[in-house]
Amino acid sequence: MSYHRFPAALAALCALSGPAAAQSIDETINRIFADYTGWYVGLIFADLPGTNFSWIALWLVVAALIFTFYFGFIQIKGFAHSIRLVKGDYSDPDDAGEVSHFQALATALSGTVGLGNIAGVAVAVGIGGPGATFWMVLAGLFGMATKFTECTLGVKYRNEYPDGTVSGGPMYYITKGFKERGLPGGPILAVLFCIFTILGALGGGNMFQANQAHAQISNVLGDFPGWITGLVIAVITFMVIAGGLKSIARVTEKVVPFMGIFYVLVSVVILIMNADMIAWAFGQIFAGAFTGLGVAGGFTGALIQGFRRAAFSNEAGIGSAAIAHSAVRTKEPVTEGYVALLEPFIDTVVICTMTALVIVITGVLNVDPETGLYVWNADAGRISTEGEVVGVALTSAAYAKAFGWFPVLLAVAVVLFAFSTMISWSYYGLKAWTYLFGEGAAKEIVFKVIFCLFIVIGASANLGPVIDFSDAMLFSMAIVNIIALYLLMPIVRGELGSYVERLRSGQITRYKG
Amino acid sequence: MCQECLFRAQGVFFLFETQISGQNFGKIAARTAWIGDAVVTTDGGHPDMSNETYVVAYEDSEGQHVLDYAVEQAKKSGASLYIIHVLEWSPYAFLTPQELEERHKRRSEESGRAQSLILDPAVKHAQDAGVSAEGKIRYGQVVEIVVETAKKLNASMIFVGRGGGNGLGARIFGSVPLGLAQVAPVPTVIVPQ
Repeated sequence: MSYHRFPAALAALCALSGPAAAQSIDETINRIFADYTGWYVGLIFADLPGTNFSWIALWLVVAALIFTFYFGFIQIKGFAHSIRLVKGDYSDPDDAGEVSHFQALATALSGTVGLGNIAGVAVAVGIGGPGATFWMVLAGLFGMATKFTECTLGVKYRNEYPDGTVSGGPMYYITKGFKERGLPGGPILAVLFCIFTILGALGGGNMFQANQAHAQISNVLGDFPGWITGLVIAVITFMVIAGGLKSIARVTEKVVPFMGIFYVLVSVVILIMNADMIAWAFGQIFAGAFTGLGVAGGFTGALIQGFRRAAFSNEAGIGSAAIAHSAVRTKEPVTEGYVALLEPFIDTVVICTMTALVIVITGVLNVDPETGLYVWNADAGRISTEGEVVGVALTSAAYAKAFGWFPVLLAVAVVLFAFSTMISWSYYGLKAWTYLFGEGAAKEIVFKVIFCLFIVIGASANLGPVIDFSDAMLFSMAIVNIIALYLLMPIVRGELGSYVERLRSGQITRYKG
Repeated sequence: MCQECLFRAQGVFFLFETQISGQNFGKIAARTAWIGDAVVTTDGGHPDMSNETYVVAYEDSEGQHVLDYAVEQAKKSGASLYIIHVLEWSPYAFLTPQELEERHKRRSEESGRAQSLILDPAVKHAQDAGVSAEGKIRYGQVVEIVVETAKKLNASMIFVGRGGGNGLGARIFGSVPLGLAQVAPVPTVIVPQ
């Protein structure tokens, strides 16, 4: 996910934006938000006693572990089948022209892969050391089971309207699933989920993205008022989401995956260029995972950073992916669960790991030549880096060691990732909005206008507390969603059992391969 | 040689030429023998008593000449026509979330429009000319669908228009007729405008 929470980097980036004239307005808004919502933000991101590990990250990781065991390590047992489904081996040729498994996966991924994979990993490795990578990969692997669960439910309980359109997501499986199981509180939880989704979409899925996009553009072009970036992005976004200007959306949707692929390819090339260092880097990752390699916090520090990054990166448990995946054409809801489990794999296990490996291998983290341990910058609370850079700048510096042109490309990628994430979240927010207020062009346009206004605010203002509140909303989605997943997981197990049985008996047709 | 046999021979020649350009002589031999069989079989039957099916890749009314030519040949041989109109589609194209939601609806609208405006008139045109004809709208990649249909129906010939074969895009990525020439399982007639 392009959203992530790393206050130091955010503060540094936010400091780049915001015209002085707007400071007083910013301050007023910040104060109001801090006064009224600070307690809630504090509650959501509160650390577990005696640690600097927020309970919400633990909530996500524990859920991932439970689903992993409950579904018998579906992410390992079902991985090959997931690939076959994405390849279309089980797709009925007569359904050609409908949404394929690949398309649902690609669209969901374009909402998740982004700045988090680039900057968030740098923060995790910068604080937790190379060992954080190990725990990040492990948490990403477990998160695959969470995605499996929520996306299966997303398809099973979606609404299919007479005109052929579909709507799905946690709000639908909460109401319908709870009713089916005779559980109370479904409608209330669904409404709560929608409120959190709308606020999260406006913040983490919008303002934060706009803010980061402006920061990146001004890094390359020089400082200029953020509202200009905001206005441009808002106008383009409005044309896409309200004006039906599909061409821009299509271009973005096409470019973003290629940017992602290109990012991975460049990473692989850098790894090949430093092939002699790969074994050493993996050694650092494994050793760091259990010893900390002298990084403050030791192995616990590495674990906390790795888990937090994975949990905050791939959206497993947040519920947003279930909205995107529910449009697929399939008669078997479980098939979309299988496909969705590839999402944390691609996002966290592949892309985040690439970033981490390049940072470790290129040597941008300072090592004490005498002890062989990383140099700790106690003032900043992280490993000392070349040029003392953090976040996106650290990733950029690592890649620039191999390719001098990479920072410019990275800036373009960040802006495109941000835009693509905004398009995705405008949709998630809209789905929650229409669930609450009903379908209709007039109602939808109200949300779309609000969404675009928030782009301008996000790009031009330094609204730390507002963004914090919005982050808290995103993770509140996970609280509601995971409660629902726990209560509905027996239904998913029933679906899985029946599907696997029919697959074995040959009742489910394989068309290709 | 009757016109049909001449026509078949032209089909053989075309494929032969293509294979040579591919410099795959082993394949040429196999293909020629196979086509030879097909010619013999066709020659052996009476044109009016044929159970043959011709697959026609029909784009739209601009490709009317393909249909007309296929109808003419079918009338001579007594073959029936299977007209397919392919809506280009890739399961790997990227869509926005909004497009995902509306895809089923859009597909129904697209195929409905293609059926009523393109396919139905084409089938009627062939039937009015006294040829047994049916048709189908398909989604996918044209060459792949045409080949798959020809195999499935055990068709004896494919008819396709030459349109689009001269553009820069076609030169780089290959056109439908060139693609069919490479992979068609049966003699393929490329009808010029």
